[in-house]
This record gives sequence, C-alpha cells and structure tokens, in this order.
Amino acid sequence: MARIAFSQVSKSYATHARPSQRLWDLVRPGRRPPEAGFWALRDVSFEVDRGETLCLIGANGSGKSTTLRLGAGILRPTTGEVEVDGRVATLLELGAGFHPDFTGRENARISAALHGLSKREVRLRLPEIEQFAEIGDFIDRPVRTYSGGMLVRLAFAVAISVEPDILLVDEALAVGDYYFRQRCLRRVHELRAKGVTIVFVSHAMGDVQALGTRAIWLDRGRVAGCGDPPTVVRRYLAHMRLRDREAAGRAADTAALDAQPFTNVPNTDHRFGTGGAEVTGITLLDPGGRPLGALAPNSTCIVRISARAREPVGRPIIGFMMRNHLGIDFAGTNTAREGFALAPIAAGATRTVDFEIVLPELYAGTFSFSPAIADGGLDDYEICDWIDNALAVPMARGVGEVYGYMHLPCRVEVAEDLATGDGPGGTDR
Amino acid sequence: MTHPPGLTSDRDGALKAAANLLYQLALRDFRQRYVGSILGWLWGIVHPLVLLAIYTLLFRHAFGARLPAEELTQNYPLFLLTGLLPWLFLSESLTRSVTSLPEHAALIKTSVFPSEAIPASILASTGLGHLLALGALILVTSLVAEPPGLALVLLPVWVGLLALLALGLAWIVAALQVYLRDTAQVLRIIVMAWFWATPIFLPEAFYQERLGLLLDWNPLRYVVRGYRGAILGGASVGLADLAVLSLFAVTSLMVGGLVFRRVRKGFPDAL
Repeated sequence: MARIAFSQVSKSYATHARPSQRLWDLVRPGRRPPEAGFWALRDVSFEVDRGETLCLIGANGSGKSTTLRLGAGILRPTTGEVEVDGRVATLLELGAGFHPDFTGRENARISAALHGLSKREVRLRLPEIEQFAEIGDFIDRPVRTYSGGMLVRLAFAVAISVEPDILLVDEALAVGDYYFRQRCLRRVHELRAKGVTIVFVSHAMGDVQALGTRAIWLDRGRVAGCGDPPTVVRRYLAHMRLRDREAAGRAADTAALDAQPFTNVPNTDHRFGTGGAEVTGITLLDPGGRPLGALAPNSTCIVRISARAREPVGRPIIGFMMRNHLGIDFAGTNTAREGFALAPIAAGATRTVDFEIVLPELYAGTFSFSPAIADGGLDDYEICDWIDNALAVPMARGVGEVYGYMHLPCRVEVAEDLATGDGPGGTDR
Repeated sequence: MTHPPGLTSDRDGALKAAANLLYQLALRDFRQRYVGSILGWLWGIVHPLVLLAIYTLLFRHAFGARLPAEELTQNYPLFLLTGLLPWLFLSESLTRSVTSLPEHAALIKTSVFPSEAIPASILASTGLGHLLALGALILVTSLVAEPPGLALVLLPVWVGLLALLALGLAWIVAALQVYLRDTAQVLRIIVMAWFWATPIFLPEAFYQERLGLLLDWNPLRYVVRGYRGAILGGASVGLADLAVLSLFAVTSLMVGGLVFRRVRKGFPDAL
C-alpha cells in the first residue's frame, strides 16, 4: 500500500491539428503508433515507498507537474507504466473546483466529495477541516471574498482530511503565510510518521531539504539527478547558476553593456507590492566585483540590488531579507536601517544599491535573498515590490561543524585552578 | 493489487463516495442555476407555462383546431403539458450536459474523480425541476379535470426510463463535445427537430399518417404516451410501450456508458 512506481514512463502532449483526430486515436482499434508531439517526460523511472517524501525539483517546464498528474491518474502515460497503490489525494491547483459564489463550507463539502468521501465521512470531518483551515467566520462567506492564503488553507485542510495513503502536492504551500506554512509542515511530518507517502513539487530549496527524504531533479523531462535532497539540490543549483552565467555572458557579448545596473532576477515566482517601482536585478559579488556562485564563511560579500521606478518614488528604501534553508528570516537590512536617506527616484529611472555585508560562519545550507523596494520611512512605508527568494545560493562549509544556525566568533578561556569549596557569592547571602 | 487511484478499495465505500459526489454536484448545479435570481427555481415552472400559453394560442386560435374525440382529454393545455414536460426535461438535460465537461475543465485537469458524475449530476438537478413541474401538473389536473387514476403508479417508471434514456444520450453528447466542438450546435437542431417529430403539440393520429415508421423508432413518443396515460388516465396500461421504451433506455445507457468510458482517458489532454 501507499506506493507509487514509475517504470520507463514517457509522456508526450500530442500536437494534433484537430481535436477530432484525438477522438479517432482513442476510438480506433489496434495499437497506436507513438504520437508525435512535445515530450514532457522521457523515460522516467522511480519508486516511492510508504512513508517516503519525494520532492521534485527542476526548472519551469521540466515535467514536474506532468509527473504529479500521471501519479494522480489524471493523465495516462504515452509509454511505460505508472503503478499507484493506495488512496490518493491531490493538491494540484489552488482551490480547483471551488465555486466563487458558494461559501467555504459548501465548497469544502464538494471538494471532499471529489476527493472520494461519503456523506457521513464529510459530516464527521467538516469540523476538523474548519479547525485546521482557521479562517473563522469566513467559512460561511462566499469563496470569492477569500484571499489567496485563505483559499490554500481551506484547500489544504480538505486534502489532508481525506486521510490519503498518498498525497501529491504542487507548489501549493508556497502561498500561505509563515504561520500556516509552519502548521502545514508540521502536519506533513505527522502524515509521514503515519506512513503517508508524499510527493511534492517545490522551488523552495529550504522545503526540499527540510521535508524531502529523497529528491528528484527533472531537466527537460528527464531525470537529471536522484538521491538525498542536499546533494541533488546542490547539483541542481550549480547547474542553474551555470546556465544563468551563460545567459548573462551571451547577453554581455551581444549588448556589451556595463555590468551596472544588474538586470536579472533568477526567480520571480512570488512577488507583491504596489507596483510603483520594481526590483529589476539582484546579484552577489565579491569585494573585487566578480559574481559569486556561493557564500563563504567569514567573508565579505556585496549584495547588489537594482530597482526601477514606474511612478516617482519620493522616499525610496531598498533592502533585502536573507532566509536560511528552513525558510526562516535570518538576517536583513535596508538603506534606511543603515542610515541612508536615498534621493527620490524619477519615473522610469533606475537606482542601484550595493550592500557590503560581512558573513559569519553559517550553517552550510542554502540561503535565499528577497530584495525589495519601498516608499516611506522606517515606521510608515509601503512596499512597492518584494520578490520572495529571488536568488538562492549555497553556503560553503567552514572548517568545523556549525551547531545551530551560526557559529559565533568566540574566545575561550579556561581557568585551571578553581577552588573546590565555596566560590565567591556561593551559599552565604 | 492495483486499483484506480482516488477510489477506496472496498466496493461499498466507493459506491457511497460516488453517491455523495453525485449529490453534491447536483445540489451545486441546481443552486448555481438560480443563484442571484429573484424568482429562483420558480423559473423552472415559468418557462413551460409561457411555452404552454404560446402553443395553446397557436393551436386554438391560429389553427382553430380541436382535439379529436378519441383523445384522453379535451383540455388542450393539459394535453400539451403532459407531452411538453418530458421533452423539456430531455432537451434541457442534453443541451446543458453537452457543454458541461469544458465548463468543468479545471476540475477534470486537476482532480481525480469519475467524470461521469458531471453529466449525471446535471441530469439529477434537471430531473428535480422536472419532478416539481410534474407535481404541479398532477395537482392542476386533479382540480380542473379528472384526478389521475391507478395508472399514476406507473408514472415513476416512465420518469425513470426517460431519465435513463437521457443519461445515456447526455454521456454521449458530453463526451463528443470535448473532441468535436460542433456537437452542441448540431444537438440544438436535433432537439428542435425531435420536438416536431414527437406527438407533443398535435395528437398522435396526425403523425401516424405522415411519419409512420419514424414514429415507431422515436423513444420519446412512448414516453409521451406513457405520461398521458398515467396523468390523464383512460388508456389501458401500455405494457408493449413499456417494453419498447425499456429497450431504448437500457441501450442508450449502455452505449452512452461505453462511449464515455472509452474516450474519457483523453479528457485532460483534450480540454
């Protein structure tokens, strides 16, 4: 039970000229010739056993979602075999099947029915769903009034209430706020302890390393790496950086532009803000101005952030948040905090800021940088643009083990001859 | 052992889950149709009443026609309604089912569930409206004409057979529409033609002379005859009709089910 096995699975999305051709292919007798088209997956084999948590990583369009859909039985493989044993629950799209005019409770009932619960089971689990979703009175309001975070909370609450043997999750957790994410992560750990098999897609390398018992890296439909998450993540990130540098190199060749301002944001999956200004680039440099692919302990590095104003920004603040491998806000700063009052930025103009930071010895995980530009002062500002985890880099290992998150600079003194009796301020008061 | 994902291994649980899915989807469909409208489900009664008024005016005043003496009733509106309601049920469930799968594309592409339930839920919700209208018709008949006789006990059988017939056809047209987007347009023409080829507006004698064999192969004709016999009374129970209609209904259900199963694998790709 609770097992998924892919053996040499390939999936092509046939590029039929007409949909009617598709119908004919389904109906006509005899074996079909392999469909010509776009191969989303090529020869993928893996097995996930009970209680394992497999994480799929890879660039956009590498076949991660296709793999989940095949596992769910929504798509069928073009060649090869997908074997699924157990009750499957999916969380593939935010609130798929939710009707905007119906209340959260009504939608939860339908969603639970779609997940295969009987009427009695739904009645029994509805309180639990409400409790986990924690959306309060909103449960009786139409779903169209919900925020994205509330929607994912409700959807996630329903999916786990099904008590699946296998849970397939597609990036859904990235939406919730920090508090809810933590509850989800805890719940995922509980499910895993109960023997639930989990397959999830994530771009948050912190989640991958924190949750995955195994990771598979898909590259253009093929398995490019499989193994323990830290190793696979490291190789994947190294590969992505290489590609990024090549792309940057090509751009430099053709345009021969000055390196400053830097205009590349590796990941813009999640961003928010008024849009009055936008972060156009973030990069890490060594003190000599050369791009950095990894952070080194006890070193100095420069975080360079470029932002462009769409509308005039009167009191710009530019800054960043650094998160560690668990997604925890680890350290951050901004121009205002460092005592700089930036001059106003005219509409269409770009401003670039270099932050020179001294890194202590940090736990050797992946760190992400979330750059932002805001308008206002330290106490009253409006975020114009915030990009979550725009850039991720590994932290190199130092000489020794890091206990906890960081190694504090420390001086040790040992007193050899301490008196054994009453010390100063001992028993007498 | 392997079983399809999304289903529990025990048959009983799967059946209960399917029943709940059908119920939830039908409930949603029924409420969704009238959400935000003032008259709500009363529209389900207003619509046939308007048609009734138009056809009655046409029949009586434009054509100056009278029902032949051998008909079960001389009350034309009742005669018309007993034929109109089953046709409305069939035509509404088909024309709404045909576009149902593309309308639920997001669901089909992201969830694991038997998609057969979507056309079936539309049938159930349309059927609920049909039952309400039938109840009103029976009430009115008892007031203005003879109350229905013992033959009324057969009405649920006729309704059930009509529903099975409609379900099979709904599965076929819904599945075809995914691949052939012209299906909905063709269906509208067929449903209209079907109305005029069935003794709804005019007595059967009129069609007997002109359509002959086509009339015998029209399952809706047996339904209309059955409804009239059950509600307006008078005629002896048409056991032969019942047998023929059962054959049509079961065939439709089986063919529809097979067609749907055969092509549904391609839905997520085609939608």
